[in-house]
Amino acid sequence: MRTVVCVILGTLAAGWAVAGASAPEPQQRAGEPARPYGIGTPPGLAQVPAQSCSAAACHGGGQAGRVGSEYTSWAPEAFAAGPHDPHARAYRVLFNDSSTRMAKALNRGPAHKDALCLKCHAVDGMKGASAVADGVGCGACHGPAERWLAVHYLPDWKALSNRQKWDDYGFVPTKDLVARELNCAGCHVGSADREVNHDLIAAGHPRLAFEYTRFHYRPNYRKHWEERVPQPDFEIRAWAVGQVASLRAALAVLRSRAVRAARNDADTPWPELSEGSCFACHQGIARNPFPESRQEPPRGLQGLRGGHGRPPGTVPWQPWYSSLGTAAAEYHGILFHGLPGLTPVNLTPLRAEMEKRAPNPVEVARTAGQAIDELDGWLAKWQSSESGGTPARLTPERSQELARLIVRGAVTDDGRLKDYDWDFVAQRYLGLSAVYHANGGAGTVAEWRDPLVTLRQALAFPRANSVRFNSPKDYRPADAAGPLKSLRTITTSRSGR
Amino acid sequence: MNRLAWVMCAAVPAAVVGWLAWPRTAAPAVAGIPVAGEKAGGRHPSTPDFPLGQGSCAAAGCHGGPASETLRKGPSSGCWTCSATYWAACDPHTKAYAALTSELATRIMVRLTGERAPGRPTIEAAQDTRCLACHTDPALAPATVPGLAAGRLLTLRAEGVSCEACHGSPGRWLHEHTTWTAATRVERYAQTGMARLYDLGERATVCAGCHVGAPKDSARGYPVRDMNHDMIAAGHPRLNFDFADYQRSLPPHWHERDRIHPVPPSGDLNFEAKAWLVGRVAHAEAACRLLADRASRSRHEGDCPWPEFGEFGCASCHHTINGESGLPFPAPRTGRLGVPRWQPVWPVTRPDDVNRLAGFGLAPAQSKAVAAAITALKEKVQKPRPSPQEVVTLGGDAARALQALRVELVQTPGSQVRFAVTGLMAAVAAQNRVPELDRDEAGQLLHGLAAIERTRVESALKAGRQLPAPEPFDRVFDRLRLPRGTLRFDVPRQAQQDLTTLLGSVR
Repeated sequence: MRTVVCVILGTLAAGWAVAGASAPEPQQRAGEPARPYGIGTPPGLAQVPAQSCSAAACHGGGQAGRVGSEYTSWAPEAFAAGPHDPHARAYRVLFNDSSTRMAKALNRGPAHKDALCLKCHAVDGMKGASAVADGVGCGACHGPAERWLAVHYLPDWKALSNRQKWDDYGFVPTKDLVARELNCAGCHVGSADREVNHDLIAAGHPRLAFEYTRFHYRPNYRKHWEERVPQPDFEIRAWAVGQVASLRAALAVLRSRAVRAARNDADTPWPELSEGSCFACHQGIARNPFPESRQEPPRGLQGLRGGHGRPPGTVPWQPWYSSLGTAAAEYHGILFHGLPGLTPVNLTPLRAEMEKRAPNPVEVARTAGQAIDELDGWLAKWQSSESGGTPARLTPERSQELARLIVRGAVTDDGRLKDYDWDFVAQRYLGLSAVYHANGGAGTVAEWRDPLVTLRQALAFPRANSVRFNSPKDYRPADAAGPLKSLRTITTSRSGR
Repeated sequence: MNRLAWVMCAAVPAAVVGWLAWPRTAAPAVAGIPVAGEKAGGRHPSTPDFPLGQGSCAAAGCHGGPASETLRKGPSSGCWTCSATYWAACDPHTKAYAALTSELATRIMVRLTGERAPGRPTIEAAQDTRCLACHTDPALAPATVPGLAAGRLLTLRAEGVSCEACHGSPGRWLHEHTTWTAATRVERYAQTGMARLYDLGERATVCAGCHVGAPKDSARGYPVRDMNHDMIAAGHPRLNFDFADYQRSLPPHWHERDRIHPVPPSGDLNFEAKAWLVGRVAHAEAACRLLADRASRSRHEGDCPWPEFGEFGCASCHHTINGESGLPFPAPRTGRLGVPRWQPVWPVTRPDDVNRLAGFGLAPAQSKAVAAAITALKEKVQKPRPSPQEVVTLGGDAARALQALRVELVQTPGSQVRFAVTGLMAAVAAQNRVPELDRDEAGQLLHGLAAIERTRVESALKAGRQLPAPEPFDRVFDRLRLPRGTLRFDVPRQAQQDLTTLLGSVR
């Protein structure tokens, strides 16, 4: 009798322990704007080292490329050469020549011990030297495993929705594109407490120019998963979500910088030079980039006021992340059928303030915060549409329509570039390439190949003595206007508009 | 009547008439010429208070005489009689206004102000005060000038940078300057406001007013002269000024001689070296005044961008990023990373080099003050967003220190200046510091070397010695000369060695 009572009480106690622990606060309170879920590290949960995932019976099965061997596919030892996962080597790069030089140039200690570097080059919040040495391990993308480690292989797990997995267990739903790309952007663009600013870039850090599909489809990136969604839906939807997610992350970084600058933080340069387009300053100015301007007005460019009505000498604000992100409002009707009421995010006031020589940080923080709220609303709607199963099937006609929208935003009817900034044109190129690639380069998109190759050549960084430059030394905007005009003609005639 | 009465009838009226007609003063009371007892410095009421234009100076009996002799043989002591003719014949400042009607100017204005018709800018360069301020007499740049009708104003502007732009508006000195001598010149110049171009430092300051920039001068009716980065981005060439080199290139409509000592000392063989250093100091002084003015305007007016990109060296931003490839055009490596460097005016903007000049006995107190002021200024300017208040204060301090140094240098014998400058250059070579200079500084250093070389040639000519061989110099110039349209931050490696060798051999 006593035993039975003890067993019953023990079971009740165990059940209470499992079920009674308080769930993380729901992301949305009443009155707050809708926010996407599944991003970052929920507070109070501990990261588990990748070693824990690598058991042979779990994810370290030894057969690279197959389900059950995800760790094996990811691990740095598995593929010393050829396609590999660069995240596994993220910590090791902190020992190379470039990192050592950077640490000296910035007057900081060694990079592999510096919290500033480890925030992105290792799993944020990971404890233990060997776990840090994993680099960007499992927990960085899949979330802190403290709560879901013991339950994620149980039969009931698959019955849970993504939302429940996140709210109750802190499990990042990586199959959900919005959550996945927002997490990627957290390091690859930045977040409120992670950034690569111009001081770091001047010291030698590569620029963070993130575009999701470009990274996803890198030829030597060996992925440890397979996508469930068939082409062409996946690549194009990933591209569109990536544009918005990257813009949202860039705005979060900007707001954080502005808030610190408003407090006159000594470590926050303001205005932050990396908010401007890199190659607006870093171009060789002695050679005239507009040689056709011997006659006025020049052909191929819309006046010479720099696009978007910028006066000469103004550094464009963030064209890499902002030139297409807001235009996704036009795309959502193509990609997410039936999704109502997404008004385009208006970045004009923010851009006007940031393109002043000395933007007011208080005003910037305010307008960036507003834009973040609006973008979060979009992303939340897209997320629920994805999990609710309503994304539209993407047909070749819709691909064409999407491409036409991208090109129309870049060139006018008579083939003049709307903005000649390299970042602006490069993002157009990447968007069009994503659509082209998603359709396999065949069928209606086959005739895009030549203009896209010409456009890539116009944008490419030159080589000299078999070493590549890190800036577009020979870029001429007129060389980009030509192929974009061809693509506009092709896409317009096809869609009949 | 008796004879005495007839004599009285003739003599008395003659005496009365003679007394009435006899001049009361030493000088004829003609309008415009000051009479003795008139308040010194007062402007005669009939003298016009507005610019008169070159036509007033170029009267045949004044400065517009025949210039054929001077054009053939160069200036001499009598060449003042044809200064205006000579100037009109061959001075490049005559073309300054015409540049505003050129194709380049049209393109610049289209980019700055937009188009009101295809190819026509909303505001023409010839109507924009920003352009007129330097491309003509600054006093003619405002939209209206009291006393000048609109048509006359346009006619005067079309003369370009003419006499009054450099010598000053003639309102107070026009009628009396013909009477000045070496004994009276200094005092009369100061009282009437004629530009003291006989002083090398003041001359350099006047040139720098347009060739570098200057704040607004309400007393003379000059607008601000500020060619900033917005205009450069629109297509205006950058201002790359060297006083001694520009002066040497200018066909001289004057005879270089001492104008303030009644018994002038013999000509200074080291004139070029002194002109070079005085010019560098005046250049830096103008740059500091303009910097302080820009900072001040950015706080009080909305139209002055701050930070002003034109304050920084061009290549500190405009360099291609080439990573660690070791290719040409590397990024600047000295100073704080990621922050553009303030414009170089070598050697003045390098406090160590200024202190070294002091060490050679050249204006030690003033040089040290300049070094300290420049150090303080650069510390506050070389940031992404310099504080305007601090820059106004420190820029003003630096400008005053540089002015004191300039005044002292003008009094210093040319031989002493040359000794200090050559000592500094030899030290740069001995310490192998050429690699740490950027391209602009190397160019400025080369101008200094050229000035020293000219003094060597002058000495050799005067002494009847053989002239120094030009080949070593020409070789370095060729190596440093980049293809037209190249801009780079560093000195090409093969030129660094040649420049170091040339510096080491300077005397």
